[in-house]
Amino acid sequence: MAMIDISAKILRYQPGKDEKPHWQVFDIAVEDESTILDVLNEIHWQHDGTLAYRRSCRSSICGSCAMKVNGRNVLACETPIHRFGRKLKIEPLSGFDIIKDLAVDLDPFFAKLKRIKPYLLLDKPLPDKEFVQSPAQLEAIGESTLCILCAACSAACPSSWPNSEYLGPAALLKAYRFIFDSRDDGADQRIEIVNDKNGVWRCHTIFNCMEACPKKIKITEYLSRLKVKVVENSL
Amino acid sequence: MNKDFKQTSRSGSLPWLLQRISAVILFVLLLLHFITYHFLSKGRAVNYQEIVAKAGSWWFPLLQFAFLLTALYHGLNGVWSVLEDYTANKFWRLVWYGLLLTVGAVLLFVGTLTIIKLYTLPVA
Amino acid sequence: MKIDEARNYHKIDTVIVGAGLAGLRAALEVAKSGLAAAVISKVYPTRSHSGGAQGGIAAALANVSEDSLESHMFDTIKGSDYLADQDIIERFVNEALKTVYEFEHMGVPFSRTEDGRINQRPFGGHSSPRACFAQDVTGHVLLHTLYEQCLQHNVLFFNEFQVLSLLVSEDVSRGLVAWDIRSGGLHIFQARAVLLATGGYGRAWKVTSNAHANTGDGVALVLEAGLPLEDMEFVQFHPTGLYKHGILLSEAARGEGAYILNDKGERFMKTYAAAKMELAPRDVVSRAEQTEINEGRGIGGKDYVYLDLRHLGREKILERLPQIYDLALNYLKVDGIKEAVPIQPTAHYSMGGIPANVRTEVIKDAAGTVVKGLYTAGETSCLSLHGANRLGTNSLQDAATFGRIAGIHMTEFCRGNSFAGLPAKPLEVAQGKIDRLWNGQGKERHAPIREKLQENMTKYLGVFRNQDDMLKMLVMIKELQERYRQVTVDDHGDAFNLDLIEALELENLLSFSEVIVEGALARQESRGAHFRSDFPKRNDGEWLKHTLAWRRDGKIVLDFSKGVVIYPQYQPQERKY
Repeated sequence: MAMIDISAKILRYQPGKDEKPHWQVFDIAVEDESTILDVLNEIHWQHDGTLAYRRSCRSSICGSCAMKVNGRNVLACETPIHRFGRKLKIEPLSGFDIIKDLAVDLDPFFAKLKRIKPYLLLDKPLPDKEFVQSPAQLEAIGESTLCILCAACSAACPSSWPNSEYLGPAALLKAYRFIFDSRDDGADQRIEIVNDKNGVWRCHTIFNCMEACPKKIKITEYLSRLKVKVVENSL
Repeated sequence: MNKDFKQTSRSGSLPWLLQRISAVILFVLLLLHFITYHFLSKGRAVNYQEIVAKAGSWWFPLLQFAFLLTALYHGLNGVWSVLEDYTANKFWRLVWYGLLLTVGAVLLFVGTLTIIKLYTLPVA
Repeated sequence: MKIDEARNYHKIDTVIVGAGLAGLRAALEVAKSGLAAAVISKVYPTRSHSGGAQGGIAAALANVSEDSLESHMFDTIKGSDYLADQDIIERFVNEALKTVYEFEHMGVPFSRTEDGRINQRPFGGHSSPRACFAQDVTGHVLLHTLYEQCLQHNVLFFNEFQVLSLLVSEDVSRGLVAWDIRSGGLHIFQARAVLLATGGYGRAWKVTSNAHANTGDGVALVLEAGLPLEDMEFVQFHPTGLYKHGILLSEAARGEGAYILNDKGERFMKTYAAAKMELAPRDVVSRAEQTEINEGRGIGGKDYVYLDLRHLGREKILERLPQIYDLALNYLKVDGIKEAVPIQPTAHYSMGGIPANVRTEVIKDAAGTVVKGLYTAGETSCLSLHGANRLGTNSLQDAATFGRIAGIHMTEFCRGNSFAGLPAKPLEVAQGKIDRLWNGQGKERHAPIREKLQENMTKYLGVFRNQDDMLKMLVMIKELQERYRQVTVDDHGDAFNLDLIEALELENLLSFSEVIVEGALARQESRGAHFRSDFPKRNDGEWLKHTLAWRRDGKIVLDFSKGVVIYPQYQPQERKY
C-alpha cells in the first residue's frame, strides 16, 4: 500500500448556478488500492464538500453508484482505480437528466420497470406450502434475478439515448424474468406490453448492455429469447 | 418530453421476424451465387464468355431478382429501424420513410434493368 | 399561511420511514387493506441495506432434514444468551413459516431441492439446516420482490427524503418532518400511524459491513423525541468481514463447509467451540478470531485470519457462493477457488434499538406504556427478539415477520383513530438543524469528526471491551459533540446536498454512540456480543435485564428495571457450543 498522485476530472453541474455541466479537475493523493468511490469520498470529505454522488452499500449489491468512468459504465464502489491508471474522467450515466454532479434522475427508469408488471400474476390457487419449481426451471430465470437496477445497462444502450420512451434493457430483462418464471400466469399481459416499437423491438442486439452490466448478466441473450417468445406467441 | 415508456399501437414483431427470415434467405442466395459464379469454374478464373452464357439461362434472372428484392428489403428495413430510433418527430419520420421508399424504388428499377440487360446479352 | 395549505404538506394514513424489508412489508400490508401507505426513504427502495443480506432467511420448513418450531425457538433463546424476550421469540417462530411461503408465492426465486422445494442450508447456532436461501443473494431477491409487490399495490414512495424530526407530544405520534434530498425543502407529513424501520446503526464503527446509509437515524430521532432506547450496547461483530473493507462475506460460506484458519493453518475453532466449530454463533466465532489475532496467531502476525473455501471445489463455490467469490476477487484480488480469503471481525448488526412490544408499538418506559400511533420494526427495533446476540438468518425473518405484524396493527389503529393534531410550530426543530449547518459561524467540517468517532469506536468498543477504553471513548464523544456544534457545510444548494445530509447523519451518530458507551460501561458482565475483559462472566443474578436509556437535560439516564420475559421451560443455562 502506497500513496499515489492522481488526476480526477469530474463533470460538475449544480442547478440554479451552472448553465451547463462543466469539467473540474482534482489533483489529489490517494492509496494505490483505492476504488473510484474512495476517490470521490476523499474529494468530498477533504477537498470539496459540494460534490454530489450516490453511494450506499460499498459491496456492489445496492446499485447506487453506477457512473461513467473513462467512458465505461461501472459501479464506483467495486472498481479499483488501477483499472484506469492515474488519469480518471468521471461523469454521470448518459441518457438521464442530471440532478446534481454525478446524481441523475432515475425516476423514468423506475417508472418503466413498473410498466412491465414486475410481479407474479397468478390464475391458479396458492398451495399450502411452496409452489414446486425444479432447479432447471429456476435456472431459466436465476441469472436475471441478480439485476440490481443500477441502470448501467440502459445508460449504455445506443437505442435508449435518442429515445426516452424505449423501455430499455433493465425493464425488458425484468419482463423476461417474470415471463419465464414457471410459476407465473401473466405472460400474455406482459408480452402485450413489450411487443411494441418502444418495447423489445427497439433492441438491435448491440450488446452494450451486457458489456456494461456489473453483475455480468447476459442481458442481450435474454432479450433475444424474449423476442422469440413474443413472436411465437403472436404466430 | 415524456420520459416514461409510451406504448405505441404498433408491434415491431413482423419487421423483426422478416428481417431474420430475409437474412436466412440472403445467406442461401449468397451461397448459390458463389456456387454458380465462382466455384463451378474448377480452379481457374471465370471469364466473360462463361458469365454471359450463364446469364442467358432460365434460372439466372429468377435468382438475381430474388437476390435483389431480399437485399433491398433487408438493407432498407435495417436502415429504417435505426432511423426510427433517432427520429422522434413524426414529420421527419415520414420524410425518411419516403426517402427510403424512393431509394428502394430507384434501386429496384436500376437492378431490374441490369438483370434484363444481362439476360438478353448476345452470346458472342 | 396555514400549514395544511402549504405546498410541502402531506396528510397520509400511515407513514413508514425506511424502505428495507421491514418497512416495505409493513407498507404492503397497509396498502392491501385499502389504507394509504407512504414510504419515506433516504435512498431508492432497492438500495436499502436489507439487500446486503446474503445467506438466508430462517424458518423451520424441515425441507431437507427434521426440524421443529421448538428447536428454532430454543436455538434463538440460547443464541441470544438468554437476554431475548421469549414471548417475542414464540410469536416469531410461529409466524416464520408463513412469512417464507408468502415470499415464495410473491415470486422470490429461492434455490431449490432436487424435488423442487425451497432448499435450506445450515447456519451458525441453528441446530438444523434452517436457512432458506437464494444462492448468496437472499436479501437482494427478497427486497426486490417486496418492492415490486409494493408497486403493484400502489404504495406511495417518497424516495430520497431524510427525516429530521418526529412530531411526538403527550405520548402521541402526530407525524414527522423530512428534507427532500433531491430538490431541497422541508416537508411535513401528518399521519395516524408512523413506523420507524430505519435499520441498524453500524456506521458508528470504521470497520463495518453496514452501508453508508446505516447511520441509526431512527434511534437518534427517538432519543431526540425524549423516548428511550433499549440494549444499545449489544452490537454484533460478524466474524467474516472482508479484510480492510469490512464488507460482508456471508456465513453461508461456513454453512456450506468453509473453514476459518489461523497463521499456523489450524481450524482454531476447535479450541473455542469443539462441537459446532465454524458454525458456532457469531459472537463466539468473532471472539475466537480476535483472540487468535491478539495472541499473535493472525496471518503473518497481522490483524486478520483466513476464510478457506478451497476444499468446497470450484463448482460449489460458483453455484452456491458466487457473490462471495466475486467480492474477494474484486476487492482484494483473491481468487477464492485457489486461495484463502483474508477476513476480520466487522461491526454488523444492531441488537439494540427502539423498545417496542409484541404488537410493534413503541413503548416509553419499563412498564410498557405505549406511545400512541408510533411503531417500529426490523433492525432499528428492540423487541427484544435477538437479546445479546442474533443468529444468522433470523434478521431477514425478523424484518419481514414483524414488518407484517406492524402493518396489521397500524391498519387496525388507523381504523379506530383519526389524525392527531400537529404542534404549533412543526418545522422548528428541523429548520433549526439546517439553519445551524448553513448559517453557523463555526469552521469545523463534519468529515474529520466522523472519522475520529468511527476509528475509536472500532478501537475501544469492539469485540472486547474494558472500563478504561470505554471511559476514554466517552470523553472523546463529548468532545466530538462539542466540536459538532461548530460544524458548517460547504454546500449551500438545495439540490442533492450530500454535504448537508452527511452532517445531519453525523449528529445522529454522535447522539446514539454516547448511549452505546454509557450502556456498555454500566453493564458489568459479559453476555452475547457484549464482552467485558474486566467482567468476563455472564452474571444472571445482577444483569439478566434490559437496558433502557434516555437523554434528559443533555445527559444519558439509564434504567434497568425492564426485566426479561422467560418461560419456565427455557431457564438460563450455561451457553456452550
